[in-house]
Amino acid sequence: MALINPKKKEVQVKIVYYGPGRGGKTTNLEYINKKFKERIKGEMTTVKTYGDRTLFFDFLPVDIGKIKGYDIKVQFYTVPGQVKYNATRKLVLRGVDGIVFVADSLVVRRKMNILSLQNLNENLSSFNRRIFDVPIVLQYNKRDMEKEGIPLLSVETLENDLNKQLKAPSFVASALTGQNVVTTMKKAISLTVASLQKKLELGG
Amino acid sequence: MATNKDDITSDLDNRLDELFGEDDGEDSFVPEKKEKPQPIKQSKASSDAKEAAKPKQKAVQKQQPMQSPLENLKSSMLEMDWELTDEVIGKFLSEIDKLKTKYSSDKMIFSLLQLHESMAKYIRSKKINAHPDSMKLVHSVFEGLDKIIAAPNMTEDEKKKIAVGELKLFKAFKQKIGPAVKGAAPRIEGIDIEAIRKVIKAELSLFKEELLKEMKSMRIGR
Ligand SMILES: Nc1nc2c(ncn2[C@@H]2O[C@H](COP(=O)(O)OP(=O)(O)OP(=O)(O)O)[C@@H](O)[C@H]2O)c(=O)[nH]1
Ligand SMILES: [Mg+2]
Repeated sequence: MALINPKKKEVQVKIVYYGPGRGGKTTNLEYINKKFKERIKGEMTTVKTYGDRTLFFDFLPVDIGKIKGYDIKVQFYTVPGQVKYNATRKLVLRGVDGIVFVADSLVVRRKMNILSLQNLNENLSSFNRRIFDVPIVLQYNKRDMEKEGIPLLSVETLENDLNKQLKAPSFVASALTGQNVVTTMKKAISLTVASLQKKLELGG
Repeated sequence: MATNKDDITSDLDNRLDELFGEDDGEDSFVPEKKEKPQPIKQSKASSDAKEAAKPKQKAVQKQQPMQSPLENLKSSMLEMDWELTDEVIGKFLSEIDKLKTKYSSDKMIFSLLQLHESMAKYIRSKKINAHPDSMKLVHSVFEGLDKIIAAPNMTEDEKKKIAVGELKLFKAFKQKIGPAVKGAAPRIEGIDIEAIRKVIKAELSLFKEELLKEMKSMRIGR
């Protein structure tokens, strides 16, 4: 849950990038970190191993500044997507306030996307939380690969596979080129902060 | 109250625009048709979907001539990118075997294939603990091969230049991995251990708190 400090008027929000291995979670954060290096005061922490796979997590703190008198600090995390690292995924997911689910648009990754979303659901359940109650944004990544003639899942298929029940905001994107990376992030922040509003009684 | 909420949201949205601008990827990506940064559902889901539904035709338009002899090698290389199993690496190695037979008379191609073979064997022995740069080198060797094979009229000198370049990279790589250290932990370079510690500590203290609460409530329950 968000850490709210009424005395200091500070809110710390945790947003986790979730999704199948090699889907582009780390690349999303790297893009944001690179593009806004001057404005983001915090350092990105990233732990990689063979083939750039995330070993533990990536971490990027971003100060949004004051909104209605509250200092809003967002912490972005990515989980390791590889199936075998579920304990780490659960650890990172603890206390999550908002989620970006990065799906891989490659046709060959269709099943991995579905399994990963199921895994997210299971892990949230283990904390007694419902996926429907957590602000979530879907991102259909790697759309740039269509240009190379690589078969991609159609947006309809992706929506049908992943978003039929969630009905969350969704974006096509390319973490590599940056297309819709920032849009996805902004949407996630604004959904998440809006969902905390009641707790904050901002402006009240 | 509803107005309140709108207030905050629009304040926040304005701030986010201020901080991060309104558009994406303008640096390096020029989409054929500019995607509006709106949720798909409310915008152009159907046209996007139609676009995405016909990648095959696009591929044809891109006119990839005939299939490259490296097609299978490439696809098993991409699989290695994805997950490292003996099966996947085995496929890669057997593809190299085939190509070695096919190109046995071309010295430069043959030596590049040998490089590939050594890399694949190294990766097979180390799996996830292979050096983080391993696959980069595999990709680089592949590109060298691809260049040579795609240009049948390339002179021997030009081929040699490419092969020697890759060989240099390979030698530098061998230096980097150094003499094999048995049972070494995965190498993680240049990471900020302190930052990770802080994050873990914060997580753990939260976890401890909750656990204590859980335990207390259990006792009361009894
Ligand atoms: N073409 C293309 N490649 C991408 C895109 N996003 C990520 N990639 C590539 O996909 C590979 C995996 O990306 P990562 O960001 O490391 O994926 P991840 O989701 O963090 O993977 P794990 O850490 O294993 O869970 C990298 O080689 C990226 O360069 C994209 O939008 N387009
Ligand atoms: Mg990652």
